[in-house]
Amino acid sequence: MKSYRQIVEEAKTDIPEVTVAEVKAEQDKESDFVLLDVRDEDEYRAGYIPDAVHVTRGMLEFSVENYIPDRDQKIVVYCAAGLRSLLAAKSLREMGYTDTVSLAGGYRDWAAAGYATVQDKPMTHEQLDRYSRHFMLTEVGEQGQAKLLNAKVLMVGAGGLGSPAGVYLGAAGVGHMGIIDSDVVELSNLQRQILHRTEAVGTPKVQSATTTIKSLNPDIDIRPYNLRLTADNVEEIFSEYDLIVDGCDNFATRYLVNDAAVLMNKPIVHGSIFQFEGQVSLFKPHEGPCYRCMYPTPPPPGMVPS
Amino acid sequence: MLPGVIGVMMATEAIKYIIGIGEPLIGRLILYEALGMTYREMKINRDENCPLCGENPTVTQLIDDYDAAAENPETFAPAAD
Repeated sequence: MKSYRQIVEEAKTDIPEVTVAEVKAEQDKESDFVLLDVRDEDEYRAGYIPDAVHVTRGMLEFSVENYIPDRDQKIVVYCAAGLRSLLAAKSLREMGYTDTVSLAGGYRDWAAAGYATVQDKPMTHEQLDRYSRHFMLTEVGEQGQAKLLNAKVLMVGAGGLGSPAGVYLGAAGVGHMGIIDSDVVELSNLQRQILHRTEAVGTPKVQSATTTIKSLNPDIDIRPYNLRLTADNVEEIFSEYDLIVDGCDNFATRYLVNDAAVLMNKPIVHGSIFQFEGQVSLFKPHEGPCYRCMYPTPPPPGMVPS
Repeated sequence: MLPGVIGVMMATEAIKYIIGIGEPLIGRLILYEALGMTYREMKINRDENCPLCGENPTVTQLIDDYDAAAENPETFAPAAD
């Protein structure tokens, strides 16, 4: 039979330890490593090291791959004082992670050294209830929900694609949404554009979209832009957002969105449809292709009916 | 119905990206065809000659008038030097 001391001593022989000063120095150098917080929810909620990924030690083996798929990624594991992190780092080695170290002294020493910590805004009782089904998904959890609530997403278009995207993003609690569209709701839109109701016919789509999403989830901010995206306004608008969801319906806007996003280094969720076919991708500037890599120029006018 | 399928996939990708979980659709294109109910994945690569994000970009600022360019596609990218 082993005591916990023996188990910890054994882990210490296998797992290198690093000090908070060393980790801080690496963070300042922007070295490539992941900080993994393995404490319980309530400990994490009280404060954590900036940019840390949180997976409780209890869920570690089940969900760490969803956060850190690369087995050769350098991982600095921390807990409250540096013991659970040793054991967690050892479990990760057994899972094939090759470069795991444990933070000696853990969060306690980090905070005592006066280094920056962050605390997510506590959720309200209503938020804890509204998003409770997200918390059951360990990959989302309260940490993921906090990211959604802090996210700033711009939806280009409140039509066929923007409708379902807007409904789900709003319901899921994406905290700050911009919606840009210059159209007015028409009766012929309603067969597919589920953001808009019959009584909204004749009103601006962004207004109708805001009303619908707000009624689904009053917890989020929505900024409507009742205008057309152009080269003159795109930079000012994009600068307010972290992610662009492009559900536009014309090539001029699609190339504008793509060009501005690459020049401003913003990711785009791309979607387009034609008759019975649709396509989806994620364009992350300089990490993957952009829309122009796929389609250097739009088709000649008249080739694709809108 | 088709925009619903595609729009919800877009929302899914957005949420995955924001939370930082799963495999994002970077470098992958999903093609969905409703009549045959088929779903295909295509690998898509960066184009090193892309006028915008390639190694020697010629599009280094926005075009003045995207509507006019869409009407006249060959004006979309200035020729490489």
